[in-house]
Amino acid sequence: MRKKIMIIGLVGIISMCVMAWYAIDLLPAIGDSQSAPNTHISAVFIEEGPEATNAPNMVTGVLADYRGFDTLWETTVMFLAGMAVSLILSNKMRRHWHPGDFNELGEFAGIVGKVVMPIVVPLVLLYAIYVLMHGEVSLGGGFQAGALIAIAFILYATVAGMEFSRIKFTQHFTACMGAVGVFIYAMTGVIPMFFGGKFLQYEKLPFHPEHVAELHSIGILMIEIGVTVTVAATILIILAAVLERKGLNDSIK
Amino acid sequence: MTVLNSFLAEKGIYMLTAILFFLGMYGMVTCKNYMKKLICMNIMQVAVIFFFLCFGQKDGGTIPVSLGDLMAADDYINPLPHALMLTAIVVSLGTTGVGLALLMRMKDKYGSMEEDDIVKKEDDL
Amino acid sequence: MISENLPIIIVLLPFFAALLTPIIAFFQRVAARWYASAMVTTAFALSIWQLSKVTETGTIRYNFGGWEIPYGIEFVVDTLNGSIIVLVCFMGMLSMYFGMHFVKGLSRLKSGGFYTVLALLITGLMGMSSTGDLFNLYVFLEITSLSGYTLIALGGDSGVISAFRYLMIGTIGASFYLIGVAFIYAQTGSLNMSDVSELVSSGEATGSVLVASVCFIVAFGIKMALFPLHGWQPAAYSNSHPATTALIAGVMGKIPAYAMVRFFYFVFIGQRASLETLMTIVGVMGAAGMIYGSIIAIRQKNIRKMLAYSSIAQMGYIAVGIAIGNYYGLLGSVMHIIGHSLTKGGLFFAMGGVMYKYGTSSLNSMGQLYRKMPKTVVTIVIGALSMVGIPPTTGFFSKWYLALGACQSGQYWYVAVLVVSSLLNAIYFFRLLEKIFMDKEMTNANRMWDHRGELPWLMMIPIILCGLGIILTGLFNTEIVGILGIAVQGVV
Repeated sequence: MRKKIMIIGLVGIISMCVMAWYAIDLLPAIGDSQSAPNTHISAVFIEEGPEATNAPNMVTGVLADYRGFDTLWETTVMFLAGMAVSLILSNKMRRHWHPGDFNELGEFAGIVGKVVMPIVVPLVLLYAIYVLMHGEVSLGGGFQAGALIAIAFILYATVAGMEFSRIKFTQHFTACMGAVGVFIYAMTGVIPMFFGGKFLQYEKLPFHPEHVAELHSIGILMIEIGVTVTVAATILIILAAVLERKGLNDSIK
Repeated sequence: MTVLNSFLAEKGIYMLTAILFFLGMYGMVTCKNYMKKLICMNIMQVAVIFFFLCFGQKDGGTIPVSLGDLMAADDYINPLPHALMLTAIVVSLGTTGVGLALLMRMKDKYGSMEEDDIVKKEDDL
Repeated sequence: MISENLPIIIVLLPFFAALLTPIIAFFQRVAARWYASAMVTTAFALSIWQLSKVTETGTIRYNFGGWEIPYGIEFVVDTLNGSIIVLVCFMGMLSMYFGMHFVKGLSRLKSGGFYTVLALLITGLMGMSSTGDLFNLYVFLEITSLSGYTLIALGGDSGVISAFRYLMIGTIGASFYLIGVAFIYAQTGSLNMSDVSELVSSGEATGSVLVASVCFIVAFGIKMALFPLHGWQPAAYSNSHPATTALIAGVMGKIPAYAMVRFFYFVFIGQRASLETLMTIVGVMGAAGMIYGSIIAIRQKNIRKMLAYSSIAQMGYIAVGIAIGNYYGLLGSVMHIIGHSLTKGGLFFAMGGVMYKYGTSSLNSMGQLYRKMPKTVVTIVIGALSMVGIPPTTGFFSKWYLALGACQSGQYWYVAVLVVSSLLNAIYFFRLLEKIFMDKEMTNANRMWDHRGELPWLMMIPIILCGLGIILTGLFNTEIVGILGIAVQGVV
């Protein structure tokens, strides 16, 4: 039975590869600068994008401005994934550890926790803020910054244990934080609607910088902050859901 | 030989991504372990992401960060596939996360991640 | 402000419901549930306004961020997806009311989170219906699928396995969709539907359109559970959370079918001639599914599983309508999307009520149900009549239009399959009715079986409204066809 499935699968895969061979003929050559994908709309993104969106990084310009609406739902997917993991794992609450179980981790918390963490964690957080602010100018952005912020807390949790963390990241609190992040993003889109613009039209934001183009920078920064909060909260909610469920010992049945 | 050479130079990567895609699908069909199925699913998604990124490539183009003195469209690679695939990566991350959470529940309930064991225990219940 | 931004506001209302529900649930569980329901109800009212506006003034186009069209993203609402959005809002609103009693007594996170995921499912479905951008559709598709997996997994331990299998197969579908988009993008360099539709109408695009169409048929076929690709569907429908099965089975399976209509008749309109063969394949798949689903449904002992298999047959009707592809065929297809959503939704709401009260959905434990839950049984009867296709229910009229379309294009064998499938439907639905009215009461079945009386009124509202909806869409079918016809006329 097993072998049959494998043979049928193999035959199917090979025939599909042969079909793909013909389909590939339809695609443009790699690196062809005159192909349709490289000319039709992308030329506008490259030539007019940096000026129109005030973001030298064109990928950020496309991601956060031209196609900012996609990114809103992308952030929502993050939030939804965190929510889903939390709901699925909390369906039948079976705690395999109790507060206090983590005390035995305290021995790691000694010198590492006292000397190394105070140096490493602020650096990671500082770098996160740098990546967040620099997203539109060079490489970086909200997703990376959020992951870095979450990593700072994960470091703390793995070295010193969740019990020692100053802020208690319960599942519900982190879920609310994730919602707040997406809410910031969505409100950045909604506010221009009150001032006669369309959804996510940054030019209609109620700020008055020297140049109108700077409004795009403000808008992109606002949504990046929202993305950062959501991504950090999502990673932390998954951490909290997994920790509250199982503890670190996976072999218990 | 020149035909093959030019094919490999112009379309070779498409073939590689196609093989990677179908390899992932083959694994999803034949693997009996749910964890392996999930890994194969990831391989498949990565193949799609590679495939889409191929359209962004441009001979002689640099990374799409404006440099001031370079202004023409031919000087930069196409930013649109990169922006789209960032979205696709996040989506695949979310899917994988939910899949892993489901696997944790299944491991709890059935004590195994092998398809045969789970199907057998499902029938018993 | 509301009037100009109507398309996005309708999508944002359930979205904000999803975002603020966990925060409100942090303080007050009941308020969070009512808040979410109120937002979706408002969206329903606005969607009716939008539909009337579209009927009067024509297609609404809404581009985000003020960017011009091939560069930005836009929402396009015509009468076709305007009606679909009304349907999604209606079923979503009813599911919100219906779920209230199911989440009672759960923890704050779980009851709030349940409503968040439900509201995001509605958001995703509405976004899928209104978007005019290929890649945006993918993102909404993934939101829909992810929340769908979660709601199926919340249905208990067997739900988790069904959800995992659906996740595997659904991801293959989504990947195929992305490959299809890649082929279109490689050919045209554009992602906007109306732009693509202009660019692919020339002869040289035929190859790419064919490959992309195959990919889209696989992708949407998996998502809507078309016959050979339906493997995930019966377990997922029958094991999902009983409060959400109506939305999952009723609407989540239909929106990919709508997307199929959108692609083959609006985006690839210039390539209709070269897609004829593919359309025949879709028709054969649909016809085979009509027979297969009905026959397997006869064997089922569990009513929810029976309804799930019958959904495979009903998706076949829709696929056949897409394959026929003339005015009446397409209208019948869209009518069936609307009518079958209400019918299957009503039946699953009723079964959810039975599950809530008696904790079982086995066929043998339905004896004398009409004495215990008379109003629920009325909806089951109306739904069953509609599934079989007896006037004046909506099922009759959609099948009538499908048959009319098949006759007009000379494909008479579709009519034969339609009649056979309807007769098979009759077998298993009359078996269900026989159990409800004739069979003797189970005495030792369940301790909870002693409870008499109807469901709480909050759960009765969806059941009764669905029953009414089935009859009203049947009675006013000419009006609905008139509204849908405005959009359909332009493409056939």
